[in-house]
Amino acid sequence: MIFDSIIFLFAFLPVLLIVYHTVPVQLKNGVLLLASLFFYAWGGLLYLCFMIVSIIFNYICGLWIAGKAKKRHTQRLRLFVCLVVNILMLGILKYGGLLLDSLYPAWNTAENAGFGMEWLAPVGITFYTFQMLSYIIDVYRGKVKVQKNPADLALYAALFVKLPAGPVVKYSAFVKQLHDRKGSWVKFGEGAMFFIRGLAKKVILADNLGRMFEEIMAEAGQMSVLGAWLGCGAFAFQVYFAFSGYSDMAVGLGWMFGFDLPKNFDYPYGAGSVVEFWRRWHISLGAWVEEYVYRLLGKGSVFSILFIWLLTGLWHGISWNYVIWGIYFGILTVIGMSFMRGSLAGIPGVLGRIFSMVLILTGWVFFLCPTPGEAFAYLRAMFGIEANGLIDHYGRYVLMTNLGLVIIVLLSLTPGAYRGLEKIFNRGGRSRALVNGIMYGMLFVLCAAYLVAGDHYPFLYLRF
Amino acid sequence: MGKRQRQKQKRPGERRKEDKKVKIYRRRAVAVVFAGVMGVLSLVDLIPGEKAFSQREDRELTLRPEISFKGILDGSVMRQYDVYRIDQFTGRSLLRLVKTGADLLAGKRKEGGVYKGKDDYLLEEIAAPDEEQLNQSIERIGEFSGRYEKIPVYLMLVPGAANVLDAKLPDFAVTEDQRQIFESIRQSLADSVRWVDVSSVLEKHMKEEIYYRTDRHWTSLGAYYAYQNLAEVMELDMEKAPELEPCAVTNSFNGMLSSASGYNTGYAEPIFIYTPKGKDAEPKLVAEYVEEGEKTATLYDRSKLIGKDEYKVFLGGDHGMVDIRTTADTTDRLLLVKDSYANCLIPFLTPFYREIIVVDPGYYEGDLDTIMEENKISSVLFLYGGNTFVQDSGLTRCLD
Repeated sequence: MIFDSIIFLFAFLPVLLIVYHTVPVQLKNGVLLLASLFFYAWGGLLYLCFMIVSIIFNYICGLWIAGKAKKRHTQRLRLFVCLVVNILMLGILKYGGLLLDSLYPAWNTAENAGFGMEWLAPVGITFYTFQMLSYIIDVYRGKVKVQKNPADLALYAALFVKLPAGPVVKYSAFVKQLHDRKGSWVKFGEGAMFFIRGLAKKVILADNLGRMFEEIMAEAGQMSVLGAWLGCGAFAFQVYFAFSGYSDMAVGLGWMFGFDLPKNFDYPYGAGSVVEFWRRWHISLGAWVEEYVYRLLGKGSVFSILFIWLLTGLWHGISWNYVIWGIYFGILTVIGMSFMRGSLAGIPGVLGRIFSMVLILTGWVFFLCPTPGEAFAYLRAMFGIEANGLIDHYGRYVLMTNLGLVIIVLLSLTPGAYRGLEKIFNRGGRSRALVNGIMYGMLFVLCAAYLVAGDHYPFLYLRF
Repeated sequence: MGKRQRQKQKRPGERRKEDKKVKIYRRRAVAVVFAGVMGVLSLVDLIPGEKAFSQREDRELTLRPEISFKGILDGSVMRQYDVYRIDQFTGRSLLRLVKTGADLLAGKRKEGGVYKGKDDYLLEEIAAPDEEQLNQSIERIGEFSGRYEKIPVYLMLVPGAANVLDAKLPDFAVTEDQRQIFESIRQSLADSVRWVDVSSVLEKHMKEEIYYRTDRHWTSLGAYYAYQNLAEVMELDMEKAPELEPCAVTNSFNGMLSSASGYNTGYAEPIFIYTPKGKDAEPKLVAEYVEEGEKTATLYDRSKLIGKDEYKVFLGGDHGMVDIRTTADTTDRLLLVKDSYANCLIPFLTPFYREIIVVDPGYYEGDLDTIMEENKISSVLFLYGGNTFVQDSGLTRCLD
């Protein structure tokens, strides 16, 4: 199931909220767990089975690693085995399809599609696997007590609120909230605000950017500079608003059930440098990588930075354009961090922001185009080489008929506009608070309108 | 003292308390509104009643999916169920209006392939030609014409409103160059068929109501002007044509472009038919719908005036083959190969032909050569709307 769907908003969520808030405290986690399993099973019963296997396996791993050992390095060995099996499971489920494709191309036909033969990686597999890894590594380190209650561990992995698109929550940060959280109308309201904002980002901004992107690409053969930038921007910002929208929805839903989840995005497009951009993007993943991978490889070394970036690129898909993407940002990060106090990393002010934006958007071209050849052709158009002029009719048409969208998108990229609105509403009294509430309500209805009547663009990060 | 001044005069501790109170109010307000909206919409959606077809949107709506074990395993049943709930959502039409309104505010002027133009005009986008298909069609027509050297073959392509009324397109809109497309078709078939130029005729009259505002077709007036030009090219004996006067068969036509896009769903326009002045001048005819096995004495199907697609009043819509026999004083017989654009032009041709065999390759299963052999056809006319012609595959099938 996904958050931006009628079935979630107007069937699953209201029923769950009512049930959750009526049952006694001891049953609340059970309700959440069952609901989460149902939520996940909605994507396919088969995929739920994979996740349950992973949870059971890691539950046993936890007990095994924490158990008494005769020799000192036995525990390390146990950890190693558990890590390897987890990573293998992740690898097979994610990339098994590709392997099958190359060995038995005849299998992967339209007739066999939809049932594992056309291999769809289970939604959220990276997220729950990473979280399980966080658990067993923390148990090994002695940072947390082993979880003897399988239901609790299951809830950590499967909580529907953070399963589809994160945030990646470290076990140590989560475990206290399992049994020690309280709800309140204020928290619920806070959650509703986050949730509606996130929903609007996805359904109103991201999906319409997706439509705008398709419009531009319809004339991809003869793009002007304007057209190419509009297309690249539409793509990049679609990813941003979809991903950060999902993260906001996750945080919001968390609040509705009393959970305090970490923020995943901090206006990355307001960053002054490439390094800062990635620090503000998918923050929870960055924290996870820093805690569990960096330390292994040697923090801050050029090798570890490049290696991790290369892996990140490949994680999105095994093809050359992702490799180039990874290496591109790897190099920029190395340069950025070496010159931390120098000119390249932190060109001050607006100039720095614009320069970083250009660098980041250039990077996204390698996601936008499936092959490096097309990506470089696209880049040539963006920078005026072999382009159909600076501005062409079609580019102007797409811009003008999407003007409202473009303006709102640009305003939403940086915190300025939002903070301004917050100031206005924080000053007033009850009546302004009511107006604020009604505005959120109208936004919610507008989202429902786009959900019911608009084109739906499945969030591409769900595949990862 | 003003409220602001009063606020500034408070001590910082007090102000922080006030801020906290405001924070609480805001969140409580949003909580209540959110729960309220979600609750209301969820309850409203519980109201039973499924629709299989949406008149407003002119498409079939998804119905409850069948459950299969495999479908549950791989999630396909659930995906269909998601679409089902979206299609059957109570209040869907209202929400659709909200979205269209929001889009218009944001500058969007095109939905579902339809432009929202000026003066309440909706204009269908000009289709880019399917090159392979188009070349095949052109080839076959050329060969067909070659097989019947003694019989004149005419080709008439009707430009879309977006081409002729391009001043009505929204600002900055860019469409395919249909004039160029037509020109290249004309040149390819210059030796085999006689081209009937409709574009320049329509352009001369573009300030008149020659296209419907909510439908892709031309009005009967537009068809009339084209017919006058056609009569010249085909050298029809205009003595035979009675004087005509327009008569509105409906004033509440809301066409297919409205349904497809959601724009101007409230706009009502008239459909005119041209009837001969004086009852006696009316040509008697029998129209036989060959595949359905029905016969009528008129080319107008008034039963289609109830409901959405009133353009179907002409000939009852599109059929594989309609065989029209008239009491016209002549032995000329016409084979008319067409799409829906021709339907409102056919009535103008009845005084000139003893028989008109109307074939729509979109529905016709047979082939045209058989018709040519079995009947004494004296002329052949291909009459298509531009968009259909450049993408149609039925024509090649019938000319095989």
